[in-house]
Amino acid sequence: MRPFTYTCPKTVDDALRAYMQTSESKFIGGGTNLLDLMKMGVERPPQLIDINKLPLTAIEERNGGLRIGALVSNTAAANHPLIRTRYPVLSQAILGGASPQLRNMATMGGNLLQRTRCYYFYDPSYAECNKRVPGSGCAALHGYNRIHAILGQSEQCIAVHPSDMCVALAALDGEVQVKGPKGERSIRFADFHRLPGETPQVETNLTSGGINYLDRFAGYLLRTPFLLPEGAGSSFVCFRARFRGGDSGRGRGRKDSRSANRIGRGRNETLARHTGREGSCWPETG
Amino acid sequence: MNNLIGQPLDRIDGRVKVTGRAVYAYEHDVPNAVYAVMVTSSIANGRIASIETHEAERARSVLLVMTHQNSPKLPAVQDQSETSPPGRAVQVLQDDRVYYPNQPIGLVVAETFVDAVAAAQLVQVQYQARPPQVDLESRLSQGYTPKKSGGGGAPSTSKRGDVEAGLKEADQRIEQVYWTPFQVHNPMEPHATIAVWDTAQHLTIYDATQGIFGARGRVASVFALPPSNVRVISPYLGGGFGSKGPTWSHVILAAMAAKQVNRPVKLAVTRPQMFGPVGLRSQTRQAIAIGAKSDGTITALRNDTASHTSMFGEFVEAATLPTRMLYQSSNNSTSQVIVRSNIGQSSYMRAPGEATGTFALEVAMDEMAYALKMDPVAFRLKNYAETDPDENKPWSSKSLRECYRQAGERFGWSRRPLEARSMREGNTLIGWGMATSVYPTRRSESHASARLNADGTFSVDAGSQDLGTGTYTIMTQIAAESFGVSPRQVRFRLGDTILPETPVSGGSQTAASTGSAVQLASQALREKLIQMAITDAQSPMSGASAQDVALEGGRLYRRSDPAKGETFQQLISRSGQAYVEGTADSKPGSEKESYSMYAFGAQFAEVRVDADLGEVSVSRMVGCFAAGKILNAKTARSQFMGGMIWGISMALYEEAAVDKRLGRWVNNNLAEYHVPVNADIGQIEALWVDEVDHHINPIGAKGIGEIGITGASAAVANAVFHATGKRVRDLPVTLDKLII
Repeated sequence: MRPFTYTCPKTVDDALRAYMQTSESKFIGGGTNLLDLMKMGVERPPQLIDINKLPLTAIEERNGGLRIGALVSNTAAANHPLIRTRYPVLSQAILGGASPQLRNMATMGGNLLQRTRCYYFYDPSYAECNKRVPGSGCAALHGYNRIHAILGQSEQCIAVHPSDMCVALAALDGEVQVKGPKGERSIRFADFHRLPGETPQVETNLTSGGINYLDRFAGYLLRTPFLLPEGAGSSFVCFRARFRGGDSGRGRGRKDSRSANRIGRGRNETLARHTGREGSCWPETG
Repeated sequence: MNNLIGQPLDRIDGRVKVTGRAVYAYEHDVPNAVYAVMVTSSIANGRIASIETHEAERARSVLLVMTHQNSPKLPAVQDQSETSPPGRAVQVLQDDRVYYPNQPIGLVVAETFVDAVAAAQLVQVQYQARPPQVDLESRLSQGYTPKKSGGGGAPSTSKRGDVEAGLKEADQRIEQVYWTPFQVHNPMEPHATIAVWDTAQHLTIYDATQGIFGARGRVASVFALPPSNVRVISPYLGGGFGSKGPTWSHVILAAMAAKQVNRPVKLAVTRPQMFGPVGLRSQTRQAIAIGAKSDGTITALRNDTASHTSMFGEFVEAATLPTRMLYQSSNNSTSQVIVRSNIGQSSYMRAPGEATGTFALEVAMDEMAYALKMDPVAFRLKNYAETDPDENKPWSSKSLRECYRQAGERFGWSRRPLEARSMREGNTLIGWGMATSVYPTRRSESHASARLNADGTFSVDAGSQDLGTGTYTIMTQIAAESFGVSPRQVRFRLGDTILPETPVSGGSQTAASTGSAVQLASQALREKLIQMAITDAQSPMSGASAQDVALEGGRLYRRSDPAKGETFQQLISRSGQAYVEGTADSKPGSEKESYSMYAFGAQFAEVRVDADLGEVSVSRMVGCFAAGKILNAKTARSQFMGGMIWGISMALYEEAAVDKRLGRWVNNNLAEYHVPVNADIGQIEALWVDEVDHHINPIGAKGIGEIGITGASAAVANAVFHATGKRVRDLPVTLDKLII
């Protein structure tokens, strides 16, 4: 509800230029999380850079693996024949979350950068949240926290990352390719997100060397977020315990994923993968 | 037209709803309207130390920032007693006190909704916060016994026989404490109001309300106006469920603001603001004791319930009521205490009392059935109450036995092994559970009019409301059948206080109350027309006996000689009248003194539980209900199913989570407050037993809006026990309670 400027660049370089020109700009793709956060007053960007015109919507084979553009919708990725056949875990993980309407809008890049649904983070009328206001404390630590992390948390933050998809991508040992003002680089998916530690406000390793992610020169555009290695996908299945079904977590879709679970690599190993990342989602809400 | 009542007529309002043409409260096109947004408290208890509004007042297009510092003071709301019923005590910026989280503490009015929202975020509030009081268990001793209990005004305690003696003589005893959580109303359409001062003394309100006449009376009293100066309009509702029964603070605030800015004001309650100012279902703590002989005879039954009310009003979640009357039990006692808490007013939510009360009672009954090694249905039949053991009266009708039989057969209950954790498919544990449903049959005074117009059209009016339940449709059916035309010829209007007065659509009473009024008015019109025909010398039916005159297909004619007849228009035009009207003033008689009136039902649920992870889903559910005459097979089925589905929600998902340090609802949105979506719900079957009950009301309907949720959560929880061997006594049954 605060005034902001809006720009809609056509190229990645234009997007980066716009990003560097206005401090604390935000890229917007599907907007399924950012708009909520703006309405709540959690995010207050002075500029929105709409990246939906950028040519980042392809899913293509590369070196026997798969390269997925940052602007591919969650729905398109989950239903893509190559992903369904070679990386079913990714398809299952995407379909295990949100709703069809949200998945239609949500992008693969945005899914990585969505922010925690911790109650105390999401509502700025709670004074304490180290992620929102560094140094303010953690209201969840001794508050209502049954949906919070059981592994990987710190005294500063016990929030979990909300993405199902990211868990699958970590299991698949994917790679994130990014482009920033200083050029392009690749980040191993498992290294993309950070545990909260002492700086829960720094959620990813998009910046390095201790640079605050809000620094205007530290921004990166997710260009081709996922490079999936050859042959990694078939032995993983999506596995998720939660209070309720949500859209395809129940009914027919669910049955399929559960039976697939039995022929996967074994639940204990999958579980370890899940929980090893950012105190991730077990048990989790839908 | 005969036999229309009961037919699965499509919804009269279906087409306008699915095409987006149905106009809901907030959508009325009122010229010159401005937009109000509430500022609500972020503490649960304390005072406003300061409230800074300068920045908000200077924001774009802002017309008014109203707080307790500048609000008009309303004498009628300043002497609110602490025992006001829900919705009577309103928080309309009269002082600096904060009693609950999300209490309205300010109102911002701007030319656009966006500007109002933006300005509301600029209001800076400093509080003197005090520790919130929200925990029930630790404050039970602070509870008090209210004078009355529940919507029907039943006593808050009851006693017959000697429960202690009954427990002593029992072969098996179950004594357990059961909990149901806070639940918050989340109909698809949140509350919304448009207030329009037509003159300084005349107010029109477009309101999302279940009771237009109640809203009219409340608003009139607050502003010291005669009720006739207030008009309330509410043609469509996106769900009510009890939330929209009372008239809450935002309605008064909208009217206050409209007066201040001298413009019509639109006010929508946001989804997070639904958590507090507009009613919620209290948490309950129910201590139940059952004693039984080894043959299954209940020797003692007790329920001591504690629930919350607000700091300023009184509401009793009357969970003890089913314990009093559902089973034959000569030694029976119940008590009900309420504890004042820093919550918005606890209030009516679908089957208030019965939904929570049947959970605890019916789970306790299941526990006793296991203790006795008896089939849960057989145990209930063993203690079947042939008359009302509480009021010592005969039932007006009771077909519960038939409900057990039909639902059980449909479900396949006879194939159920008694032993828990005995059905399994791979890693999935399967369980079957059942419970009894019960809800009282209510009726209030109601009025309706039926007119045959000179052009031959037939219009029927009754104030009333359609919550989405099918009121338009069933009233049309009743009018058509009672008068003798096809439903297409009926123009039925509701939702406006200029129409005949009707009661609140709450307590499942609309069909019984207003349905009876519509029936009587339509019959009165029919009789009037027949009288006109036989006394009119120019009519072909002149001199005929009333019994010999038929009314059908838009005309009246002699049964003995169908050629001798005429159209409605011909008859009316000779009379010179613009219309002929039949009216009805329908109210309950003495039936309540002679009979105990309830709808009953039986519900059976199958759950599937992951043996390792405790994930629960309800794969199928069968309910059979006996609720008098069913007026529309299609809308009734939806009502029953809706209740059953909410029961699943109550059993597995719903809980308004409170941070007890802050006294705030942390999950105040539909992403975190879980309600089931379509994919969560398996196969739901709603059956019913046709009952003919001449005692309850002229239309013979018991009301079906609430009975579906009663017993449903217990059936699911009992099925979870059967699947897992784990007894969960506090809802919702989440996976952590099953795996830890």
